[in-house]
Amino acid sequence: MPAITFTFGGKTVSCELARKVTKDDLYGTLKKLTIKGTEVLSRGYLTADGRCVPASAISNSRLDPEGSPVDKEEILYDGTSREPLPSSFEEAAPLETAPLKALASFCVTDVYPLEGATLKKGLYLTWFSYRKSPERKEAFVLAKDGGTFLLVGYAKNSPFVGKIVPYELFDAESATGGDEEDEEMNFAMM
Amino acid sequence: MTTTIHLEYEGKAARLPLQSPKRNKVAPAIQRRTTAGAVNNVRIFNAARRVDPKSLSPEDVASGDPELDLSMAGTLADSDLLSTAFVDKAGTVVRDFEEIEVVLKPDGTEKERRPRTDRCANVNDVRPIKVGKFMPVEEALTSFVFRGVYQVVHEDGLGHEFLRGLAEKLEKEKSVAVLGAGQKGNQPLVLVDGGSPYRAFLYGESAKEGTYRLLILLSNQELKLPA
Repeated sequence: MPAITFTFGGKTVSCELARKVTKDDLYGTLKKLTIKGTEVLSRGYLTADGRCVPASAISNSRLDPEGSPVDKEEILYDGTSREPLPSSFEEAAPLETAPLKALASFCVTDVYPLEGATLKKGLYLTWFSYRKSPERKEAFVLAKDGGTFLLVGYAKNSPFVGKIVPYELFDAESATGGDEEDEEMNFAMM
Repeated sequence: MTTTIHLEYEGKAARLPLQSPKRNKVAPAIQRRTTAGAVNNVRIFNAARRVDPKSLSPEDVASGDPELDLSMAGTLADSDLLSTAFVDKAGTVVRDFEEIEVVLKPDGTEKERRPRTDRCANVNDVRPIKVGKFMPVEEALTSFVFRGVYQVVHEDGLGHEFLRGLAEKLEKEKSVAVLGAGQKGNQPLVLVDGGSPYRAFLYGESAKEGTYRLLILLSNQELKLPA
């Protein structure tokens, strides 16, 4: 397990980042299969000229405007080039205490247990970056009975609304934009 | 586009807009470029051919490239000109197939096999989403992993009164309410047709100036270590 360090109140908090916990680890996996009799069929594509090719015959690639595969590219963030920042394993991220209600506006994408963390029970705001990157992800460390967890994701700005609803504060797209997963879970947990 | 939620609480039901709050931190616009210009993401044929590795002998592999089909290699795969097909081991297109779901336990063993079902959205159904049992807010926030946050808002004065009252009650009791779909109000919420099912919790806060904040927190995982 990789060692990860945080700073809190001028002190260093060292621990180990355990493997990501997914719902599949807790409840199992749902596989969708297409079968005929007992044989599991594989997905393929029919091309315009009637050929049948396997799905593995198509790859994603990046091409420049001349149609050549891209070897070296420059990435611009809001129109400017940025240097990658050290990852969470190379730089200690600061921890700041946060109210528990901050979790009510936070969408979690990844959950990592932190082993050996010596923190008082509570919620701490921090950042996380698994690799060197110009962008760091928002994160919380939650210390509770049953372990300490690093919750990585993004916060939403949910406003208080009065008699007039400030619609400009909401996404214009579908309210269900985050529902991209197409998996199922075992609800026995509830 | 706004989704509508049909919500019932203490015998009163209302259809209300469900909004997606904006992110706190706007993600930067990312552009990739080379000296020749902007980079485009495309799908191309990569020359892979469907072969059963067991059917190949070492001589086959040494003398040629039976695993490659170079006739289309490098050409663009235009999604509009491709149709999905299901093929058997022999490479024949199968037209009469069955779609199933296999449930595997965390240890990988098979638990159940069943026909595939298409889930329909149920938040704006004839049967309203029921505001169920209250649960301490601290317990909920530390016991579940919330994947999505949506906000219920009002459209008129009655809706404002209804939602603000609910938000005030939740805040006063330091609780979240468990939401459920279906006749008994114990089914998970599905926001879009074919979407994922989520357990949902209603979180409320109110402020002095007559404002409130009522959030629907969606979860598909408990916050705990695997057994």
